[in-house]
Amino acid sequence: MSAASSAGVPGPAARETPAGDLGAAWDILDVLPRSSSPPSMTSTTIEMVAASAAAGAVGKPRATVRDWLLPAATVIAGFVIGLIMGRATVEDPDWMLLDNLPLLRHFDVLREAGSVGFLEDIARRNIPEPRRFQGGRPEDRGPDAARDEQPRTAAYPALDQAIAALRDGPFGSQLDAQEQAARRNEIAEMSAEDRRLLVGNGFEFQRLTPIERRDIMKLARVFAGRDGTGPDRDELLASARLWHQWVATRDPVERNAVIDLDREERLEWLDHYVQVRPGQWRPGQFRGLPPGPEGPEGPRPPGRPPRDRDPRRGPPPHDGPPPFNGPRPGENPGPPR
Amino acid sequence: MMASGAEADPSTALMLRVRDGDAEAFEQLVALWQDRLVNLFRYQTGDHALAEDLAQEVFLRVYRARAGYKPTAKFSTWIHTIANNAASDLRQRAYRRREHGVPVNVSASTSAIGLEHLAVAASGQRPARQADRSELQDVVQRAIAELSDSQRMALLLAKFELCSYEEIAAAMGLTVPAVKSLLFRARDQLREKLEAYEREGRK
Repeated sequence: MSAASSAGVPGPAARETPAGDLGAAWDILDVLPRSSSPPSMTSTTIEMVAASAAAGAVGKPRATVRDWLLPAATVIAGFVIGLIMGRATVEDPDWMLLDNLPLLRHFDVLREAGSVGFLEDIARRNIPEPRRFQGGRPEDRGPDAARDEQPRTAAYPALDQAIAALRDGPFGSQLDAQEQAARRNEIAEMSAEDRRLLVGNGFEFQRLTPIERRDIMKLARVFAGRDGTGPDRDELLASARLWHQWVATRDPVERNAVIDLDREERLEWLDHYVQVRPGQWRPGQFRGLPPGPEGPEGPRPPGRPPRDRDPRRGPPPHDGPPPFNGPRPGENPGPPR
Repeated sequence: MMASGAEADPSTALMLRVRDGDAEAFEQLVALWQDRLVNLFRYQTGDHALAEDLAQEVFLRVYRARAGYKPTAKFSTWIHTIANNAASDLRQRAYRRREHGVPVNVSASTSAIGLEHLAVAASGQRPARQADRSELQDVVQRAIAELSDSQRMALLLAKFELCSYEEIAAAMGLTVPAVKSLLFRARDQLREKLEAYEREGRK
């Protein structure tokens, strides 16, 4: 009797089995001896299973949610702590955008104004507003020419908008969740072009040195009226408007180059143009057109820049007569803007 | 549904008692099944000691799974599934560790000499007509060892455990046609090798 039948399993005749299909191969397998385990195997097996059970390895229920709760909580806590520490030590571009959104939306205005120190220098120098050149001599333009040449206070709506935005929203510090959500929505509702400009401003802001960034932040606080102990705000705003008028007299390419100048170079550039009367400007130079083949410094070989400049500053400003020599070699350029 | 079946199948009844914490029932279950499992594993692995270890591994797994046991199928099918998994796990562990010294798969350890052995037995150096029952056992064992693992397991379940196609399929996780195919190919291979042995032995 086979082991199967001894264990209560019905024989092959009672059900479908492969015996008939295997044919002779089935019968030949009968020659195989049936193994018998040693008598001690049962007790050995029971002892082995009992030992495993005593060691806790047997019948141990599967890990439940509660078993995973503590390790999972530890991992999550570590992640949160790491996030907070990382936030404190590394300036994430996204967080930087959110925290400084009002500043970055009007970064161009602040960048043009430069620094509180620069605006104070302008205020001290009593610099007049630029005269508007109408082309030709006044006597050739009729009776209204003299009136047209009088300085006019140009509107500077971008500065007004920047001041309003900087007053309305906090910047330079971490925001609460509600303010973050509001700013995310504000960014989401921007046009693609505005978002591109914002991100570009963010990159520009991050590329500043820590001192330059500090100066921009201080200027923003002054514009927003949050620097109560600082310099005269109205005086600085007037200086910013005046500087903007002077910068606006240049064409866009030269305008950017002027804005890139440091504090001392800006003042030198400004002093130079304040001394030049509009009648002395040649039309092309006034409009910021490139100088002729024979500029104030004489002929230049093709491809050679007017003078040695830091290439990181981009193209130099237009060098009309009298020549603007830029920073002198060996001269301390002064503190950053 | 299975209440009557459990009463009719002693193994199922014992397992239900084991599930309820009856240690004596587990001992009876081991006594009832250990020879069958050792026999199965012996021809599956070709190593008697390894077969005993595997049988103990199966009982350990049965004990571990006692709490979740439900008599929705025959106990024999359940324990054959565990046995097949244990053998499969052993092969995988041996493959990963490259335990060449352990004849986990007899076919792997004897395939190089199986057919040669049959050829030698048929060559006159060891005449088949003089082969006694022991020699025939040896030849059949080697012929089985030439089968693939799945063919051998299906054949052993069919022959030693008298399993139906459906039971073999359930234990091995295959379809019934796949089991039939395995067994037909096993039969053809065995027939080919054993007929060659007999034919050569009668020369």
